[in-house]
Amino acid sequence: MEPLQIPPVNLILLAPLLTVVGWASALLLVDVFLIPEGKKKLTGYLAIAGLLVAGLVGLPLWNVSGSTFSGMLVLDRYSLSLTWIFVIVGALSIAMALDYLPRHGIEQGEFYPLIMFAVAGMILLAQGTDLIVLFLGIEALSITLYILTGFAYPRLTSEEAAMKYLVLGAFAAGFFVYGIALVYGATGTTSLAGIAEFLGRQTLVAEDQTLLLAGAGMVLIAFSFKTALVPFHMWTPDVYEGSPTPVAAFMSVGTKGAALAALLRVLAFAFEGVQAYWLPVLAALAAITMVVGNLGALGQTNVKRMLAYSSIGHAGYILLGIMVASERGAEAFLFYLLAYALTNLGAFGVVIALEQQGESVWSIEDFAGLYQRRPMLAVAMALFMFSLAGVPPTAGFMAKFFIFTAAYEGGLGWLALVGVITSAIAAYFYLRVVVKMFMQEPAREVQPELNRGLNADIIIAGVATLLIGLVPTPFIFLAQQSLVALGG
Amino acid sequence: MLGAYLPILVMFLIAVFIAAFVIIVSSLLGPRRSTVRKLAPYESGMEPIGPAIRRIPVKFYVVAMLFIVFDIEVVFFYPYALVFRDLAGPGLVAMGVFFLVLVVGFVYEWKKGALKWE
Amino acid sequence: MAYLNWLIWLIPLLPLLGFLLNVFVVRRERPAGLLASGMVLGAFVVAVVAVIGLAGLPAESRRIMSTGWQWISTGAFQVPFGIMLDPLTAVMVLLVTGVGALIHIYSIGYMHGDPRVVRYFAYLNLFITMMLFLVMGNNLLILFLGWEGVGLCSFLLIGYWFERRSAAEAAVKAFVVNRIGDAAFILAMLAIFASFGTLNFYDVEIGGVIQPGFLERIPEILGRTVGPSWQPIAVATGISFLLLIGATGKSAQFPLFVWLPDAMAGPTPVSALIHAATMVTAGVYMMARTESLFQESLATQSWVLWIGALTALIAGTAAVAQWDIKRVLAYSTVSQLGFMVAACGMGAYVAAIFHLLTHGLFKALLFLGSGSVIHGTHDTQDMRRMGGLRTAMPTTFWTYLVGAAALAGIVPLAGFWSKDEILAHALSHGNWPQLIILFLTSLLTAFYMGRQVALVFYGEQRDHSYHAHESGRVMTVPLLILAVGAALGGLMNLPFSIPGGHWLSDWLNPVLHEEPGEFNLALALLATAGAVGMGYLGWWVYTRNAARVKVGGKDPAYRYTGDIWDGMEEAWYLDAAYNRFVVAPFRALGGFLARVFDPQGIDGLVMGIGRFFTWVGGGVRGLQSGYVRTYALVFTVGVLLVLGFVLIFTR
Repeated sequence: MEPLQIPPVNLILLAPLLTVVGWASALLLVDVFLIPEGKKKLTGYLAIAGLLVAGLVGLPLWNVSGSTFSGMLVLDRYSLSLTWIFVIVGALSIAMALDYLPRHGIEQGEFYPLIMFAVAGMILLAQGTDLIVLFLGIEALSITLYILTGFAYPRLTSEEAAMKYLVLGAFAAGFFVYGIALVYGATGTTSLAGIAEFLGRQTLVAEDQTLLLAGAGMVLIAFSFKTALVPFHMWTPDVYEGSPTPVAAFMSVGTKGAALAALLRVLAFAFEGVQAYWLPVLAALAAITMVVGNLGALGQTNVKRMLAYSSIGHAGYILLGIMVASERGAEAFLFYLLAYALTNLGAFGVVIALEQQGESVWSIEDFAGLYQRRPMLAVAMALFMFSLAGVPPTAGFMAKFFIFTAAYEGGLGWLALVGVITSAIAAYFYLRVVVKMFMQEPAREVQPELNRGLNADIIIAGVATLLIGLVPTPFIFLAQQSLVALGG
Repeated sequence: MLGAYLPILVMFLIAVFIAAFVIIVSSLLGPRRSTVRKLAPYESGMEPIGPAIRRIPVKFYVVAMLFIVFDIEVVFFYPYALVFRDLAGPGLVAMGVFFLVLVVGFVYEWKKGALKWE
Repeated sequence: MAYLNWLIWLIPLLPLLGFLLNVFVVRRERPAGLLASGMVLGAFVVAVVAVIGLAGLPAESRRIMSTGWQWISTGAFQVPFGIMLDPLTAVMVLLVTGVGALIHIYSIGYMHGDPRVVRYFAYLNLFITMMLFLVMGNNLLILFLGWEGVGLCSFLLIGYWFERRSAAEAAVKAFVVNRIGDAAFILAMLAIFASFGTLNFYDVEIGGVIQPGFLERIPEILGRTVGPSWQPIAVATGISFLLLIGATGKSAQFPLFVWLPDAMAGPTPVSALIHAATMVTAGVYMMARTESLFQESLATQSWVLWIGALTALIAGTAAVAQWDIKRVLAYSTVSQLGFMVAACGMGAYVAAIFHLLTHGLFKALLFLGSGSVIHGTHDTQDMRRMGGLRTAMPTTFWTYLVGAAALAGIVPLAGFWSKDEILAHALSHGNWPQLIILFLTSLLTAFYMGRQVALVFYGEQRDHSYHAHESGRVMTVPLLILAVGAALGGLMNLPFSIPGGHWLSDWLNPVLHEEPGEFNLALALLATAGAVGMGYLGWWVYTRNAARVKVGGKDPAYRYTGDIWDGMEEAWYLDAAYNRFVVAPFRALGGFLARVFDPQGIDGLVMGIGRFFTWVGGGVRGLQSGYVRTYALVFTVGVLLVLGFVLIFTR
């Protein structure tokens, strides 16, 4: 038996990830030992600081790239850009939660480290180049989210949501593991590069082909569950509705983004050779996701559920970018992710501002006449709604335009058509919120509560939504730069 | 080829033998004095008839979870003990990190009062 | 003329400044109105200066391009945030800012005392900004920015009086119907980008690099086709057809015109500005701008022609049978837009733009006049409750008469010249069917205007529950100015070969490359005689039968036409048809999907399957709870489909 060797490890490449994990672990202890009850906001501020530090730690790594842990983890600009997006998403979600938690009587210091752990899982997904590592990332993300979903435990819907998410999540995880096993059986490796090399080197015998396709299909299914593609989306509205609103906001952009980012890597590198098999599957999933997501949102009167369906629809649009195996597609994907993340966080921020203590109904009626009471808040919400609907000059329009052009150029014209038509339909339900805010008298007395964290969140999101729409070039440049090293 | 798995087969047989031995021997040697208590399906005092879903104090779950933490630790440490010398310094550091993570969780639980029974 | 490069930015930016100030700073009515009007007036002055500067250039170099910044820059995909001023844009800018300024001023009087008036002026200024971006953009994306922007402002302003339930509904309807056109527009942009690699209209030089423009590269796509081999579609046809659908939405053409009559729920100055003079002409402007693309597709051109002509006729008949003073004008607007679109279809783009300009003047006048009537009769809109108002509101009456005569096409008012140019073009190019349709429509136009004037201003006042009075100076002065415009607007493009006669034709020649239209004396005489005759007939019928018009009663003409009249009143039931065949099934589908896919309302199909499985797995029933089983079931179905596809279908 040859002696075991520990492979050389370059921890520098994992600096942001390690910062987040280390900070979160330390914060967990600091929280229980040092921070008294009632001052838990301090934990939140520390968590935001940690995420920002992690983002800053990433800055000098822009020109560094490389892989470590025997090629299981990689640092490139793609993962680094995603890391920054996730860090921003995490920080904004925490900012939203700072006052939300005490207002709803569910303030626990653990909330903040948990969000950090979830962010760590997301970064792992962005950096992972091995199916096992990706599984690790997905589980790290999921397990924290199961807890976070049930965080509003005095409310029954929150517990129910957590239970549903857990049961179905475990179901999906099973598919992932089984898929990995089958892929390993076919190719003898779980590394993305290894699989790609194997597929490029030789033609498979029939049995291995079956194993590989079944495995790839199962991995795809697991990712589809995480990104809530139809028909693996059933949990989404319930879970978003039940979970604390900042968590729903976090999930709607963070989880989705991380899973899609990993999916891009898996499909574009490992399974590029069998594109002919997964492309039709993914195209069908994207099409029904866009249709069902947007049609499902039509009938909703609960804003949280509406946003849940909207996020399902948007996952369909983002998928377009992933499918087009071109640089333009990946660029459009990153750009869309950024634009959508900021817009959606802003929209959830406004929902939180309107959410009353102990209420579990997020009725669209609460938005009635918002312009009379809080003009700025209403204008911001209108901006987010128009961005989600894809009206220029907002970020959402630019993003949709990029995605559709990429799809059109990549030979997926019919999907671009489905996208344009469904987004035309989508305008209707986003517009309903605007109609309520600007064209109705207040239905009942809802006093919007704004505070520092929420204000910061809404202002950042609003400015970014406009800025990305008006001056998208730097952001596109960033997305382009992020893909420079992705080739390897 | 299969010869490599022989020890496992032997272990299986030993396990089956011990289980069977204990049951058979006790039934052969034990005295039989039936009482109502003894004829009950569960001698532990559990009511055999009642609602299928019953409340169990959450404390048990906490203990179960704590057990898993240490179980995993043991699962990881045993093989490590075998290759302790091969891995040398870097291995020690890696296990240290692993242990540290466990300790963080353990300290957190302790402080949270998960170890208090009442 | 370097100063023009920055000067033209002032045109859209002044109203934008007004919008921002009104949103964030101004809180009281009076400064809001003055600020908004002042900004638009300022934009008008700047526009005049800029156009004079433009006219000073030699004809072939009259195109000022100015780039603010590179909006999108990603490899081959380059879109500048740039605006331009060329002869076509110039006339549109003058119309938008000129008429816009008058309507702003008028609004100060009309909206006096309204509780949310600051918001109103903010919306109006935003609208002017967006409209200016629409006509000034030097690429399709800026045009689309303005296109969506004006749609948004239109939506906000239609729903401005949201206390009236109809207003909010009309606003949503307008937006949703427009989205259909917008979707086609986006697809057209994608197709143009895929075909030409650019969205610029003309070559733009940025930082010494020349970015191509697609309007100058039309020959590249000639002969290229898309679609299946058994039914190839020329690329030019595909793109121009998508653009046409976009135009039918915004310019309220058949089959998408249903939103415009409902849009009259907005304040009347808004109807004048947005739903008559400017926004609804955006489709015509867009087709004129991309004229070289349309010209390459005979198929699309005949669609354009027929859609325009049919819209003109359908809306013309509908306008005859309306009671609401504004709905008459709304259908009339749709009908006149049909004239413009038909002119585009014939290739008579100058005539289309000419009619667009004159129509902007006299229709704004008519709407403002009707606003003055509504104002003076304390929010009465039903013409059955009016009558005999000419004595109470003389200024309104006389200016309205000028507008009505101009619309009816009576010599020598503006409408006569522009309408005649379209008809003459149809005649000289042998478009007989369309000529007949358009001629009939112009007769109808004269008839319904005669009817309206008679119902509103002649006879006796039929409802005495209000005391009619003339509007204040701030409202009548814009009416007078517009009346002068409506009377003299025809001078822009007289069909005679006198110096300055074809001014508009010559001015637009560098963009539209068209020779001046011919004049056909016989047609002109016939049209005039028809207009005068039908106008008089309309007036005569409704003054003679004034006593038969009862509040809430039927039209005197109903006796003779019966069901036809009902059909006209409902615009041939297009709305009802949409409700029946589009809206209702869509609702049903949405409801169905919500039931099937939305877990809250699970029953029927999915529940049935769920029960089946529960029954099958009866033994484990106790382990399952809630609806998770259904989710897992759907999940499993998805798994089977995905794996089934990869493993079986790909064999």
